[in-house]
Amino acid sequence: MTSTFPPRSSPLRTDRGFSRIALPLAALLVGASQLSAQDPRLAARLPHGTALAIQALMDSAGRQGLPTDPLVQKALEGQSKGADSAQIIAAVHGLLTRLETGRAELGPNASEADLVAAAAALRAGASSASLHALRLLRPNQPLFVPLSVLADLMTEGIPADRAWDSVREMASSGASDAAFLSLRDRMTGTSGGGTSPRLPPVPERPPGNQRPDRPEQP
Amino acid sequence: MADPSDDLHHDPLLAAVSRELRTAPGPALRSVARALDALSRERRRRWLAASAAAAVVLLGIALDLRIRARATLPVEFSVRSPASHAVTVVGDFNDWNRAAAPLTRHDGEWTVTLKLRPGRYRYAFLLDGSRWTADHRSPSADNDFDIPTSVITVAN
Repeated sequence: MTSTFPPRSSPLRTDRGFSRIALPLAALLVGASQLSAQDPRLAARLPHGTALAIQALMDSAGRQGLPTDPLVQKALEGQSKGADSAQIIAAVHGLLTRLETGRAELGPNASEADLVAAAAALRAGASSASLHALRLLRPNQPLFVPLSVLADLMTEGIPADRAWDSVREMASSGASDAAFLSLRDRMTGTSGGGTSPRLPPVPERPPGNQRPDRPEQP
Repeated sequence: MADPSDDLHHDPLLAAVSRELRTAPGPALRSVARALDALSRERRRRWLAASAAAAVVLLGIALDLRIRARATLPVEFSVRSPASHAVTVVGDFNDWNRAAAPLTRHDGEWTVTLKLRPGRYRYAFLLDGSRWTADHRSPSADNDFDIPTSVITVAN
């Protein structure tokens, strides 16, 4: 009769055998779970490497409790417009950074719409302090309309100080969302094209602030 | 040993008085005890009814807030482009799918109505599948990809 060391029933031998099988299996399962968690829209429309990079950014957002769909939309926008991978990843990374700042300033209860609008305001040049101030001016209320209006004003070329003063005054006076949108249309000369027909009609623009409908760009 | 009728009375003093009256001699005092029990029973029934009504109201408010948050609003997109043969609107609301939302032509004006939830959306029109154009009636959006883009804010 021969004997082996350690014996076949030894916990040492069993553990070693277990590790040989279990560790690769666990790695495989983790990898598979990550693959299954990948957004199918990314896999279908982006090059593999780009999709993986975007997925990593989405995972980072998810770990922080941030919405991931805006990141997907930014990536798909880039794909649809024919941008290259570097442009897409840079744009998504920039958006993630702005969402993080938005969450820090608006608090943990900020909605996805609030965070998207906050990111747009930051992208347009608004300060993070203005986001925080707006939150204090409108506690426990959705902020996406005033933030969106702030972003629109600045993107349309209204100086940052003037844009912020206008939004802050309206927020201080408890203005409605419709009033914010009317303010934006008055200041930028837009008519809110595509705005819900349920919204109140846009007031007449002041003279000298007309923005005629331009024909399509060739 | 506690009398089962004591459970009727929220107030311990009232429970003690009721208990004493029930054991007191004379039918008049016992009838007073029965009246007290009936009164407590009625109060408890009203309290339960009020609690149930409050719960229903709170549930309704929560449901209403949830429905409002998920409610969609009709939003019309339009662009004037008499020379185009096909126009679509592409944006955050349809995964930037170039074919998802074709517009219908009416005398050179192309329109489509989409149902969107409240929020901020970036979008652009795609003419004949190859030319991008912004909605010049809407504010411009920031431009990460060098293509004209518009933005719409949908509010309740």
